Amino acid sequence: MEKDKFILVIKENQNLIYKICYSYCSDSENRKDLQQEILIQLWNSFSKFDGRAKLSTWIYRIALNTAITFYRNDYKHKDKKVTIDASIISLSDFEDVPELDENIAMLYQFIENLNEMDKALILLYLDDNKYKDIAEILGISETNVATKISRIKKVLKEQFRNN
Amino acid sequence: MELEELKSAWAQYDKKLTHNLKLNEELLRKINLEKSRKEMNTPLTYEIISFITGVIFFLYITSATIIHSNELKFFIPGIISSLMTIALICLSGLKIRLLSDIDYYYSPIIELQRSINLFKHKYLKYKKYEFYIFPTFAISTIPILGIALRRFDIYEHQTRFIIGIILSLILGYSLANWGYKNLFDKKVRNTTMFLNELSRFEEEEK
Repeated sequence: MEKDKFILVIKENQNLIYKICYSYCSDSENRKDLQQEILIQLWNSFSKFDGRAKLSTWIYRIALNTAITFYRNDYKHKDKKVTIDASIISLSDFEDVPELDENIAMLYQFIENLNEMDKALILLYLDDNKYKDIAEILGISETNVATKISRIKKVLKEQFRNN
Repeated sequence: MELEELKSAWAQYDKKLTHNLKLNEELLRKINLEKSRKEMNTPLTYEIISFITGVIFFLYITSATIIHSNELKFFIPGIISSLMTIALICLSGLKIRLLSDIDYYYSPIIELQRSINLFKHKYLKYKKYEFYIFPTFAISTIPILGIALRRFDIYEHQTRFIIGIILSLILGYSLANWGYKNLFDKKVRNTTMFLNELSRFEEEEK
């Protein structure tokens, strides 16, 4: 029963998980591992979710924290808890899906070059989260969020101009 | 292109994902999720086991030391071993406290990453102490353990004991030094760097 509820929550938030994995791992093998790691961490904390925070805030926190930790650790040398060699969240049919929009591809490239924390910040911003929510998820002040986003905007503008 | 324009392109991309992403429920069910939940506290369980083993060992070594307190040749190494065991128990206790203090579920990202990396940093430092304590610990424990466990008096085999001490000190400390430098030094540097990055990220930008 709990598992069914969990699957439903994952289904509703699979876009978010997919985008986080795509932003933190350029390699598809690592991406699968990260995806499974995020799902396991979400499952492990699922029973502890008591509604104190919004569901999306909770998912963002756990998924981003797992991605940052994954990104910083060399997982290739670690025993994997999960042995399933496939993507749990994947594009349904590659034939029907148009290739990544040029701007989105560039944006992913830009995100790839950011550090772990800036990656989290920009993802939260692009997903249309309010500054207040971003501040709450990251644990910094709203003013700090605004300043950092404006700095990233400048760098991004410069990069798009150069390309 | 402005970030605002990209934001709307991102929203379009999100819509596309909604139509095209597929959750493989069967695969998700196949993962032994229940098992992973049990595995979650592995480092904490490991430290608790270390702590309990340390306490049992301490009680054993202390009682053996008390029994042989009339013989200085066993009493002194016994006292040294007991003190070192206390140090190892304290290190384990500190690790348990650090691990239990981490709130994995409701901490903001900065706070959780800082707690995790502070734990890692301290864990690696404590490992250093453990590495360096170990050769002396082994030397001081052998006489008292030998007599307590098997009524074996190492001092009756002085040449072997002296060779053992010299080898333990030379090999033990060279290995500890080499091991720490190669296994942990880089990790300590990386963790320190990330902790600094987190502090910079947290600082208000102007």
